[in-house]
Amino acid sequence: MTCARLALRSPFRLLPLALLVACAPPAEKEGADAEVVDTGDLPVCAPPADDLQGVTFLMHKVGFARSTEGVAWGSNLDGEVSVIGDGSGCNKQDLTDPEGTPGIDNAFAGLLPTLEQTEAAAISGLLQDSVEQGELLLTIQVRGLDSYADDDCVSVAFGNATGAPLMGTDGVILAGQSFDRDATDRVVYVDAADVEDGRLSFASDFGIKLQILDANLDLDVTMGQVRMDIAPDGQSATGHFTGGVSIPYMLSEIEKYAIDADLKALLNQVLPVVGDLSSEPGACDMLSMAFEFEAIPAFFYEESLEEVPWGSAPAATD
Amino acid sequence: MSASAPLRSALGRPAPSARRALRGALVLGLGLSACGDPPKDAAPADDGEEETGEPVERGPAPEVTPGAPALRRLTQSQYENALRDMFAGELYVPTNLEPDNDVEGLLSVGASTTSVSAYGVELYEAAALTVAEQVLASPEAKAALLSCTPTGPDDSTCAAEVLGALARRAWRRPVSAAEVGRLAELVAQIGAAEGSFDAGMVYGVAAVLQSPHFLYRREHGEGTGAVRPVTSVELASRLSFLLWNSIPDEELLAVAESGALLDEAVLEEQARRLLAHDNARRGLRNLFDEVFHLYNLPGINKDPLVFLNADPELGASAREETLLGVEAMVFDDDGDFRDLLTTERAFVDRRLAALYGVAAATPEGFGEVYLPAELGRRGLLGQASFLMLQSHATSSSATKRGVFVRRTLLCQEIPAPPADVDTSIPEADATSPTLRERLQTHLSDPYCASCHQLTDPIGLGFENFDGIGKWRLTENGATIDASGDLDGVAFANAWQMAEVLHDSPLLGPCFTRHVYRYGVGRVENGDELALIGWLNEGFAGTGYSFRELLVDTVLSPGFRNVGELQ
Repeated sequence: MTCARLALRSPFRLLPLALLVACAPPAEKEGADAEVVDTGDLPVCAPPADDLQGVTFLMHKVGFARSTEGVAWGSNLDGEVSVIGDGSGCNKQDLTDPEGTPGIDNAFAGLLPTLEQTEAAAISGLLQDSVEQGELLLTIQVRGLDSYADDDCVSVAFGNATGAPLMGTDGVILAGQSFDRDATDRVVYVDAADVEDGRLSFASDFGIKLQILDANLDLDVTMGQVRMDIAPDGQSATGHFTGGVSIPYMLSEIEKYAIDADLKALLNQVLPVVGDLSSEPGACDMLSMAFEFEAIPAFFYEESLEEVPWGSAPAATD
Repeated sequence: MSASAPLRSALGRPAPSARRALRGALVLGLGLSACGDPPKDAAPADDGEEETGEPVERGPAPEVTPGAPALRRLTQSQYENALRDMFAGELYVPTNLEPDNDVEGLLSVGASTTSVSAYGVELYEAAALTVAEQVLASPEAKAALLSCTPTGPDDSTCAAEVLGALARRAWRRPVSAAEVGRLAELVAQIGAAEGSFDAGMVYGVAAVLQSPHFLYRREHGEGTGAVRPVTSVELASRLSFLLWNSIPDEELLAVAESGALLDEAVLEEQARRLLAHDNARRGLRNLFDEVFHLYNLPGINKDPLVFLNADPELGASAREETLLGVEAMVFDDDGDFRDLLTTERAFVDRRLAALYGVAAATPEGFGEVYLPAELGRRGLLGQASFLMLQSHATSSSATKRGVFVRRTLLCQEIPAPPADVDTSIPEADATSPTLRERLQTHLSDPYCASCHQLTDPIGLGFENFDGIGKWRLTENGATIDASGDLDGVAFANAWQMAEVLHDSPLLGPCFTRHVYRYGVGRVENGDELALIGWLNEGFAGTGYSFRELLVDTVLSPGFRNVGELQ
């Protein structure tokens, strides 16, 4: 993924999405395309060679994780439970998730209501539109899964699919569809994840390619955490993924486009002071952001899985 | 290990003892009575094997007195195929024609009993003109049609040459000089009036296509007596419509005109030649389209509020899946026909793959996939075509599905419900959440039970599939019990039932009968039942090769002869 690939055919329509342009600095991206997470001392679970398909979930509903009275989905990305004034977490108040877990980093949730009072009012709807139009088809593929409830050693691929989704008569993407693996985008491979009480969790930076309306956007998310709760029958899942995006890069991108003057002024005023994560100690130069999702079973075409072997880098793009 | 592995263990083959019990029961005709009476029209259940399973030598064909010859109107698909075979290039064939008629489950039998209304005549006239205008307007089609260059707008000599050849092909027989002369005169008159040979030819071509000689299949035979051979050219048409669902090609017509087709060896040679041609796939597809009523699938009405997968294309996809499966079985594999019921191979597009919960093989069109056992779905009766057709618009139907199995797969007669009977079933509630409980009304009322006991226990076996064929384990929150029995042979679910039906000694004879009726265009008489039994012996003897059944049928005396003209 490169920020140079950002293409804006209709900047006017993109205004609400400018905040999503958060490419990491190039220096951080070297070698990041084919990413296998360092699992430390954890066992490495080799995916079964005779089952390329495994079990795949497609995120057919994606939205920003919102906060209500200090409660929001997200993850504790920096390992701290921060309170304003305690010197930790860039002096930003962390949230608590609906399960009561403190230390949740999701600063964007606090910014979202303000943005929705501006030209960026439709930002959430556009995100879901991009899913239904097949421009944002995030998948979590799990191989070596013995049980939807508990499995201490599975292999995971988190990436994008491509294809025009079939819609149900209710207007929602149908379950059980087949897609191609996006051979041009990076896929994150985690070879030592586990499922406990139906919950699949793994840590990983990841990239999300957003193609919303006329805009092609790449979003780099670092310090990422992904969590997915799988229904006992495996026919649905819910979850969230959280990570940090670079504020300096967001600000630089904002300057490039013809954004509404009031919105640009607001962003230039707010973004420098909302950072709650740091790329280096004390920097407070990253904004935490969490996405909620609902997922359904899906498949990859076998040919597509063979073309993009497990653990491989994406095909070169211009 | 798959997460669904526990389900797989629930599936399995019925016990061999149970299969033997069914076989015995069926052969003896036990427990198969339709609504209390012995099954009517059931073909003999002799499968040509001894108890050891070894094929037995088949004797000579029984002497039969065939039914009276029928005058069959071309079905809509035959009409379309014939036109496409006659003319080169792209052709739009109007479909707004006199509708086909289903008699005894087959349009081909209905074609023998239908007439053409005055409005229908107008439709054929309009269609003929539409086609003729296209042919004369298309450089490719026109060049292929006009074998001569007209010397003027009223060149009757050229018109006679062109229309003589066209009429021979369309009417599937030699044409007389008088017939050709009348057509040529028509062209010359209109050509002169319009100042255009092509304008005249439009009406000449249309006249050929409106002719009863084109629209009807005359298979009256020749000679006198109760058993009369069809003529050589009539036999060519019978053969071609059976195997290609269209008119004979030039080679077959020429052989027929020489009279050689009446020779059994020549007939077999031609039958095998036609079966080796791509057009045979078209013919086979039509046969199964009729037998399974798949033509009702495109545009089938399903409640979109109930069935989220029921998009407008699903029915057409389901039809294609079944036909591709039949094609593969017959032409690519030449396999055991009965395996249609148990095959774990399916041909699906993205839409059907999503419905079935399997990975599609290809983003575009249809591809072959394997259905793992844990899906609980296999064979014809696991396909959306059957499951959609034999359901209501808003729900599944155990009765319709059971009737299909009895009537179409086993050729047993299940009477339609009396006109004054209330066929509605109770709404689901807490005490009767699944269809099984709700259908107790059928089975507890002796008046209803006489028929429903024959259909519902079978149909309930498919209840893991909803009204469009999507797999489900529960209905209204309650676990579905898909167990049942087929005339005393228990099954746990549809997956097991497929094998019970695969092994049924009625399956082969039933399809032999379908083919026979399709070929001769009428219901067999009692005499011909023996012939169908004999054909089934051959079918079984070839390992249920459908291609060999077709050839055997063509060579049989029932196909080559007709009864007294009435």
